[in-house]
Amino acid sequence: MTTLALAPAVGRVPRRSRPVREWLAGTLFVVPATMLLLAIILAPLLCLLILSLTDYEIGAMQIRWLGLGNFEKALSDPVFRRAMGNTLLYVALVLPGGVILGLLVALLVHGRTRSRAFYEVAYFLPVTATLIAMAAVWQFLLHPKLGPVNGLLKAAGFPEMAFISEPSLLIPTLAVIGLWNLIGFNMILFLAGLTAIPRDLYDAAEIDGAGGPIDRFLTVTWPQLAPTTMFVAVTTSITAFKVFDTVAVLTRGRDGSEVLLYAIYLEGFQYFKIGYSAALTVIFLAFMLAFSVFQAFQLDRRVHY
Amino acid sequence: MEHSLELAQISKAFGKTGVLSEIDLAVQPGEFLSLVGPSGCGKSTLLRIISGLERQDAGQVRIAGRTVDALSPRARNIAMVFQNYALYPHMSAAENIALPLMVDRLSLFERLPLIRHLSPRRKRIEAAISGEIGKVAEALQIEPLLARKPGQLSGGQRQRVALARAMVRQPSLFLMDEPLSNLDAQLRVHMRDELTDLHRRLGATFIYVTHDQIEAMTMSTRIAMLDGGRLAQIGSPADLYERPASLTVARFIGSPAINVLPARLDPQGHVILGTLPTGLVVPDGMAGPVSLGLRPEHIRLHAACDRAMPMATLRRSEHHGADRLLHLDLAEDRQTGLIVRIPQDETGQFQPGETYGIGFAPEKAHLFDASGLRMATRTVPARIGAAA
Repeated sequence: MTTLALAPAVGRVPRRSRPVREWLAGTLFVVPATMLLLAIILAPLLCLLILSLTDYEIGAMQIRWLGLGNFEKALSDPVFRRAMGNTLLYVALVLPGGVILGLLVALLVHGRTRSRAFYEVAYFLPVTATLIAMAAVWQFLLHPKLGPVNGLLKAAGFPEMAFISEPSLLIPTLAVIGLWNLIGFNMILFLAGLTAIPRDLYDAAEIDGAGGPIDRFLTVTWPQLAPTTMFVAVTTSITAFKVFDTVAVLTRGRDGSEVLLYAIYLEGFQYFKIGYSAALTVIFLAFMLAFSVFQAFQLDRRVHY
Repeated sequence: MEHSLELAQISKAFGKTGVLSEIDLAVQPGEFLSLVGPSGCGKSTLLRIISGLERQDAGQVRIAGRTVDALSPRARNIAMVFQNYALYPHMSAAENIALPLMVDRLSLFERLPLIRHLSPRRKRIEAAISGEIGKVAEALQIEPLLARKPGQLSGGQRQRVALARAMVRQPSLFLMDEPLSNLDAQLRVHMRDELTDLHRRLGATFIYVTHDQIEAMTMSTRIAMLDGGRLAQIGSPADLYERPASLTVARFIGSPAINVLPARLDPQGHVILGTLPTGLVVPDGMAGPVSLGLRPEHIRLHAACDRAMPMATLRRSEHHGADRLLHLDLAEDRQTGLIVRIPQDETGQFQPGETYGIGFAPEKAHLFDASGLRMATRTVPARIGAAA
């Protein structure tokens, strides 16, 4: 208002009204970020959506518009259906395992005082290790004849198991490797959650008589960790959904062990069917979006009790 | 009569840091005892030792005549109110209050999710508990709040729910760890009133930790002041104010704080302030430096005076409603500030920048030796500025 009042005094032409100027300045400030968002996220997504509606192949001379043809094809494609089923099975194994084991390890590590740093690093190491390189180690460990795991099983009197060739064992084996890779990360998240629980609450629980381990967990720890658990569950499912490297290195999709990302990779980069692979990616993204929306909604609800 | 709480020779150290040493304390049933002291004096640790949340290194805790050193907090039959209320955020106020009773009366299986529905007697017990909650809630006037979660309650309301959770077990001892320090000033005064009232109605024993001497002075029947892990003094609020056992107690109790002037004893045991005798004598006192403590309301200022007395310059005058606080600087060394409390209607005579003579009644003065301990004194006629 002061500027407006001063304007005539300085002898200048009355400028545009304040709301208009503010709107203009605001828009100018927003433009760079919006351009970046458009260029690096929204435009590629749009490309993907358009490609998924065509039969584009790398090197093809013409493109045909298929409408929803690719999606119809996917639904009746046995490879894709198998990949979908495998991925869901993988998530169903890794999600509860990753959350429960991560929490368990965090609870155990949290109770340590001097050795805590060691355990944190030890459990976190698999997270930093390259899964592709570690897959070679796993291949050796699980080898039917040479591997120490089967050596142990035989020594204990069990029949040897072909972890990486028996079709029905493939996805569970991959899930175990995925868990091995993931638990350290979940542990760190749970540890952060545990550290944030006020000591007072444990004191109060002890005074109230709920000081036993189970009571303490049910009255204080578990409810206080609810937001962390929700977050861990969502990140774990997203990571599990994106399983690719172990499949690519250990099984290469043989014996019906394809997963979603591996199927996309085969269609796009081995058979060059970009249009079809784009359609599969759209389906994959739809799942991711569902998880993310669920997370945002849940976290919002949980933060204020 | 059996003591409600007895501490014998309690000592505690964290690593190499000694926190408490040889604390002895006996609390009568129905007392409101405040544990006061500056931060780090060990008062909260002492409370945690009484509650059983912390274990003492040496000494004994007896509650209602029973040695409880080996007992868990739950078995000690005590209740505690925490500074941050420590309400379970995912439970409603009613569930928070019910928890101690639920744990007490239902087995672990009857409290587990899902499995609890199998218990035939659970419903009956829960109905009884909810009746008791209703009574406590009525006493604290929080009935309309019972369905709310702590996040939807104000600080004062949370405090009341925490009190209800403590009351519902009908413990023999209430422990309170600075329960009012998270409230705003106005609410604190109000809750002070409510707590005193509650103490009177329940007739229970309260042990109340605070760093706020006003809370201790206004609410307690007795105050135990801790200093550096030792019991510095225990007595009624009036005892601590009128006969502080040490310089630390004298400085801690009272607002504004007591004025402490450097003085000395001459070989005859006369207390000399500057070059002037004060009229205070320490029988068989050794010559040497001492500290003279004067409460702000016990100092008289004299405008014009022919008698020899210490002089001070008025720097600032503060309005405190009924009273006025005068801030002065002692004339000989400008380092020593002096605060004097006078009734509002006497203020007209005093102007900032002017110099006044300092007078006091020697029987109102407190004398402390070089190590800060109280010295016994008597008065002799030759006194300075005693006209008032």
